Amino acid sequence: MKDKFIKAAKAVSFALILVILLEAASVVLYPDKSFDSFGAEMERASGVVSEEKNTIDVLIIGDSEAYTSVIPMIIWEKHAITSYVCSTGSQPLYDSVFYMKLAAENQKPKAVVLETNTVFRELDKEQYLLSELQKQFSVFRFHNNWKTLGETYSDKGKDSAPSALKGYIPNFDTRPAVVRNYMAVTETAAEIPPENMACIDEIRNFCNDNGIEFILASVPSILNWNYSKHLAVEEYAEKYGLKFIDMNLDLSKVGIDWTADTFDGGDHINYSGALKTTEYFGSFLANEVGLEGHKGDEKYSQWDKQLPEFYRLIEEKSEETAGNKKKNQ
Amino acid sequence: MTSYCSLIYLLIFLPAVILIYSVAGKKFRPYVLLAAGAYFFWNFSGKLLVYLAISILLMHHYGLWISLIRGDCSEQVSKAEKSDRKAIKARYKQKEKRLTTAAVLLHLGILVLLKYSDFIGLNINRIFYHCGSDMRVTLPGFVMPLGISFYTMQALSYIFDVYRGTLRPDRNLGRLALYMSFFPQLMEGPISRYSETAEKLWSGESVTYKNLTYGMQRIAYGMMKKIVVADRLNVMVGHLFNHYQIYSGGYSALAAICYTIQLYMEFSGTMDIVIGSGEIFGVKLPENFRQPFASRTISEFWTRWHITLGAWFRDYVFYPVSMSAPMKKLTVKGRKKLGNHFGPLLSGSAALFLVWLFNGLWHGAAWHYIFFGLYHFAFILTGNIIEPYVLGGCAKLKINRNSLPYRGMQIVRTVIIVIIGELFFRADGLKNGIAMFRRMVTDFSFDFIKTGGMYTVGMEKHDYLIIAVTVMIVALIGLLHERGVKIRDFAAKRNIVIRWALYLGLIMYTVIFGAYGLGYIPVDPIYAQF
Repeated sequence: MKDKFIKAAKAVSFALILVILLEAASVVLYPDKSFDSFGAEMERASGVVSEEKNTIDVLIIGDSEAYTSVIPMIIWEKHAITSYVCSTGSQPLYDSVFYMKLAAENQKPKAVVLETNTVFRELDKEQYLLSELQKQFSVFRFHNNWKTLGETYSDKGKDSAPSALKGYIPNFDTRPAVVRNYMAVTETAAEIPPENMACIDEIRNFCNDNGIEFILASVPSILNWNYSKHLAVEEYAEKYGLKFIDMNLDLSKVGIDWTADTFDGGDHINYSGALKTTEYFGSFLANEVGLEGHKGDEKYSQWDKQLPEFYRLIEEKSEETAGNKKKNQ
Repeated sequence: MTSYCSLIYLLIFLPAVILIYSVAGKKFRPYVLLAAGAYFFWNFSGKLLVYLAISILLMHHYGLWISLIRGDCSEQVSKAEKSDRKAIKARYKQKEKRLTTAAVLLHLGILVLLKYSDFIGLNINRIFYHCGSDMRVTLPGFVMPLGISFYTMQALSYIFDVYRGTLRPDRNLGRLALYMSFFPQLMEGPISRYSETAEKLWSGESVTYKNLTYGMQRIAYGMMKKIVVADRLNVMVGHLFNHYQIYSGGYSALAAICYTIQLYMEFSGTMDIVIGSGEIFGVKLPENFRQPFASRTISEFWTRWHITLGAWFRDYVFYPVSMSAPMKKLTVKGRKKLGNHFGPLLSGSAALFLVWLFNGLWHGAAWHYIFFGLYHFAFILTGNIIEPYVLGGCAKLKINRNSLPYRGMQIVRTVIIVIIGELFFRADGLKNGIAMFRRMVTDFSFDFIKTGGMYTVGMEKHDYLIIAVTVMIVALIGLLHERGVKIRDFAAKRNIVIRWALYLGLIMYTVIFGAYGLGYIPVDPIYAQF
C-alpha cells in the first residue's frame, strides 16, 4: 500500500514538474512584437500585435475568403472604423479562436466577425488535438522561436510599423465564374461538425464575456457557399440572437459581377469585387452594427498616415499583375 | 490516427487501451488487445480488415489440418508393420507438403495480387509497347491493407515453423489472431515469430509500474528521433529528390546523406515507440536495430538494420535454398573443382541472390527496389569472393584487422555504400536514381557549403545544428549500447534528481526542438508503405 502511494506521489510530482517546465518554456518562447516570431505563414494575420493598443474596432477572422474580400483601409477611408483581418489560408476554426485571443491581448474590439466559410471545414483531428495543447501551453505553438532566442527586434532587421494592408491581400487577376445553381433554395440545412460547433461556441462565449459583439458574415463565393450552408448559419445566429450578413443573398445590392469580380472562377473575389464587398460591409458595420467612426481623433492619426502607403501597395500589386500578364502573352 | 507518432495514438488511443486493459480481468485482457488491434487496423484500412481475417483463418485451418494429418499418420504407423512404416510416413509427409504449399501459395497469392499486380501489368504493357503491339493489360489498382507485407511474413513463418515441427499448431484462434494483430506491430513490424510473442500476448499480464515507465521512456526516445530529426529533414529531402535536376551533384550527396539519416531516425524511432508500447503490456517484441552504422561490412549491416526482416529471409529462404538437395550436390561438386572457399560459395551465392531479390521486391513493386536489393547482393558477394585475398594481403602487409584505423576505414566504407544504396531506394524510379548518382560522380562539389546554398533548400543553420546535436545524442546512446550498457537500467540506478532531469530533459527537448505544427510536414511512416 505504502509502495503504491509512493509511486502515485512520484507520478504526480513528475507531472507537476513537467507542467511547470512547459509553462516556463511557453513564457520564454512567446513571441515578441516582431511578426517574424509568429512564424512566416502567420506573419500577416498576426501583424495585429503591432497595432496601437486598443485601436481596432472590428476583428475579422476566417479563411482566405476573408482576406480577399474585406479591405480595412477602405472601411477606414469611408467610415473611419478600424478593422484588421486576422485570417489565414484554410484557417481551421481553432486557429480563428487563437487569432481572436491573440488580438485581444492588445485590443478591445467592439465586434468580432467570423467569415463563415471556415465553419464547414472539417477539422483535422490531429491538428485539433495539437491546438488544444497549444491553448494550455503556447510552447507547442511557438516552440520554433528557440531559433531567434536572444535576438533583439532590430537584430532581425524587421520593420515594426503596422502594415497598411491590415491583413488584406489584393488580387488583380480576373477569371470569370460560371454561375450554375448558385444559392438555389433548399429546405435542408447543412450540418456543422461538432468540433467546429465547439469552436464557434468558444468564440461566442469569449465575446459575451468581454462585451464584444459576435457577428457572422458570408462574403460572395460561388464555389464555396450555398443555401444549405446559409440555413445552418442562420439557424445558429437566430438561436443566439447574433447578426448574420450573407452577401451571397444580397448580391445585387453588393453589385458583384461574376464575369469581372473574381480571380479564380468564383472561389474568391478580386480587388474590384473586394471594393464592392467592403463598401457593403462597411455600411453594415456603420448602420446595422452602429459602430461610430473616429474621424479627427488624434489616437487614430496613424490610419490616415497609412492611407497613401496603402494605395501605393495596391498600385504596386496592380502593376505587378499587369507586368506578369504581359510576360505571359 | 495517422501513425504511432500521432497525438491521437499517444494521448488517446494508447492510454485508453492501457486503461481498459488494466481494468479488465486477466482472462479478458487478450480480448481487449484483440479489439484494439481490430480497431487500429479498421482505422487505417476499413473493410480491408477482411484480408487480415482471411490470413488468420487460413493459418488456423492449416494448423488444424496438419494436426489431423499427423494424428492420422501416427495412428497408421502404430498399426502398420515395421517395414511399411517408412512408406506410410513418406506418404503423409507428401500430404503435409502439399497442404503447406497450398497455404503458402494462398498467402503469397494475396500479397502478389494486391501489391505486385500493377507492377507486373505495367511491365507486360512495356513489353507490348516495345514489340509494337497495341495490346494493353488493364492495371487493377488494388488498395493494400495496412501492413500486409509484415503480417504475411508473420503468417508464413508460423506455417513454415509448424511444417518443420519446431512449433505445435495452435488450436486457439484468438491467440493466433492476437499474434497477427497486436496493434503496435501492425504498421511497420517488427516481424515476430509465433514462439516469441504469442504466448506472452495471450497471458494477459498486468501493466506493472516498471513496464509502464520503461515503455514510456522508450516511446519518448523514439518520438525525439522521429519529430526532431526525421520530420525536420522531410521538406529538404523531398525538395532535393524531386528537383535534383536543378542542383549540382553535391546536393545529390547531401540529399542521400540526409535521407539515410531520416530513414534511420524515422524507422528506428517508430520501432522504439512500437517496442515501448509492447513493453507496457509486458510483451518483449524483437529488436529491429542494433547500431547499424557501426557495421564493418554490408553483410554485418543487414544483421543490424531491419533485423527481423533479415532473419526471416535467412531462416525461410537462405537456409532452405542453400541446404536443399540440388544445392548440396552443387557444393560437393564445387568443392572438388574450385576448392574449399569457392566451392560452397556457389550454392551460398545462389541462395543469397534469391534473398536479395526478394528483399528488394518486399520493399516495393518497382525496379529501383529490385536494384536496391541486388546492389547489396553485389557487395556481399564481392566481399565473400575477395575475403581470402584481403586476409592474405593484410597478413603480408602486417595490417591488424582489429586495429582502430582499419575498423574505422571499414565502417566509413560501409556507411558510404549504404548511403548510395539509400539514394536509389528513395529516388523516384531507377532512372532518377542513376541520374542523381551520375551527378554525384561527374558534377560533385562542396559549393553548397561555401555559397550557403544548403540553407536555401528547406533548412536553416539552426536546423542543421539541432540535427547534428540529436544525431550525436543518438550516436552516444548507440555507443553505450554497443558496449553493453543498458541505458534505461543505467538511468534507473541513478538518484531521482539525475533520473528525472534525464526524462524531463528528453521530453522538453522534443517539445521545443521538434519539427511540428505550422510550416512542417511530418514524414509519413516510410516502412508502412511497404
